[in-house]
Amino acid sequence: MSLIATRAAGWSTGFGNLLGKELDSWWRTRRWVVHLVLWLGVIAGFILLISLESRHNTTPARGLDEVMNVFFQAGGFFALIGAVLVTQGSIVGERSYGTAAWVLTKPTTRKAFVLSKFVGITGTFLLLSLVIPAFATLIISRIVWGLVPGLDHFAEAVGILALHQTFYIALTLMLGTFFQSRGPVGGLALGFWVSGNILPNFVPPWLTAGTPWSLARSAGQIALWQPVGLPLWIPVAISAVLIVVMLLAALWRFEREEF
Amino acid sequence: MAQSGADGVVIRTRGLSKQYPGGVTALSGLDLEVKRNSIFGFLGPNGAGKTTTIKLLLGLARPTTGSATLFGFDSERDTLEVRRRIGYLAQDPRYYDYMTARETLRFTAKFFFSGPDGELEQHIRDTLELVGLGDKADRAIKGFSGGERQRLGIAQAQISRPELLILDEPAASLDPMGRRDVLEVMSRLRSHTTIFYSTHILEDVQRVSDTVAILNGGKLIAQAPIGELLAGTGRTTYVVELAGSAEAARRRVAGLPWVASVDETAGTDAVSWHVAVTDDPAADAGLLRTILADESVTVRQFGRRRYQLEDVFMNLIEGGTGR
Repeated sequence: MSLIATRAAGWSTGFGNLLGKELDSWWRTRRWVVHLVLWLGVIAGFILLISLESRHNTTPARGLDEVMNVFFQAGGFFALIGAVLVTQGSIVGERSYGTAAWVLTKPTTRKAFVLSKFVGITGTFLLLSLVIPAFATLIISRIVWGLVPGLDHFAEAVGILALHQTFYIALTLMLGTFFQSRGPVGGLALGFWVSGNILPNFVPPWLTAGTPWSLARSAGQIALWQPVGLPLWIPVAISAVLIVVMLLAALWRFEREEF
Repeated sequence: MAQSGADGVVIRTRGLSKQYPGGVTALSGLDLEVKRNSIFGFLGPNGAGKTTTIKLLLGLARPTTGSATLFGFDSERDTLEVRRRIGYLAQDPRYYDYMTARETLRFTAKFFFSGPDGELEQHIRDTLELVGLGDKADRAIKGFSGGERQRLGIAQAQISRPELLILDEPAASLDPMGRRDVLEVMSRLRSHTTIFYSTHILEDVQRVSDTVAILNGGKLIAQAPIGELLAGTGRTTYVVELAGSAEAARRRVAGLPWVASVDETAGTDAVSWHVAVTDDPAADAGLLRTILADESVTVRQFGRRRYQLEDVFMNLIEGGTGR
């Protein structure tokens, strides 16, 4: 047998190779270790400290509530900032360094280039900043409080938080195709998140209840068995549609990019 | 199977132009033809439009007007088909620094090939040996010197065994040893590949190219086989250096029917003539004899003027004339 020239056509040409490269940039370097330690430290470490501090002066049920509260707040805040910081340079950095132009002289498509980044970052970052810390949180709850939350509710809440982070990864990726430097990309993405926290103070609650801004709050409410204002499918559907729209905008813009 | 015209043209541009926002014209109405298996030197001063042309050929930028076809495929519409057949080395090549040379070639090769891993790895090893990076295959690129980076650049450009190699200033940032290595690799590859490369190092072009195009201010001012360009204006000129009293000899030479002009430059103890002739055989047979007939002069140097590419280049760039 000998090497066979690839003849793939269409938008996905080269996608597998590009995705492999994206995953290698995490898993074949120390990057994954750094992030794993960071997110376990920031989220699970924080939960462990609080649990150890309060385990003698509160009930296990209250302690578990506190754990859930901290997990979803930390996940909705620190991990979101992490998602923006990790994503903000992925397009801008490759464009300014010259690797994007190099890769795009090979038989691949610009769509494959952008989507491989989205899939690679989303999959890896959610695993390191959310899924693994979530397991660590369950283990801490079990050891310190002797309790674990209802797993179906917890899994649903983690899924909602994952959608929340995916939204910001897609937003940051899209902004990366429109701007030439990291500043406006990260600034606008974080500014969007900040405005979502401020806006409910000035507008009627229903106006923001169905938006991606409400996802982190909803995730915490679900985990704590608290009622969620609107039917959950509304912010989920709106966020999913917005993710698709932002990705389409990113693909549209990147197709027009000149190097 | 690649297509090229019946005339064996690999690259053809017609009226290719690029204007950037703000009215900057980088390229204006370029008509270019590159034949199969040639080493085509694309010359011009900085800012002439060489890199812009290459970006348009590769689909990294879009032409404002005009078109380019490579192997008969349109550079914009059929860019994927074009890029399957091309290897490209950028002027300042950048790779993923966390990868080793071997990983970079593996990543590049997977865009072009599928097949058994063993075959792919063997092909990568062979390519690394070809460019002299066999012993550095597993070192991170981050620590590579400029020459090593450039050799890796050539390796990744030709790992797909492309029918066309496009090299943008392949030797510009290299020391003389690095330049020699790059030119050697280019010469080795010419047997099965067409090489289109931009440069402003005229000496390199004269050493390896067979066809040359000269670009200035975004416009093509010359395109010809290098031998034709070096033949100069079409009129043979002899360079003669004389000591002694040369005035009588000069009058005699100027009076010959096949001598078009004699330009004299005075030195400290000698004079130099540039004698333009209209009949080469007659000049070969009679010019030196005519001069030596005068015993008051001593001939220190005599011969046909050999044009260097630099002379041609400077004449064209400064004169702005085409051929």
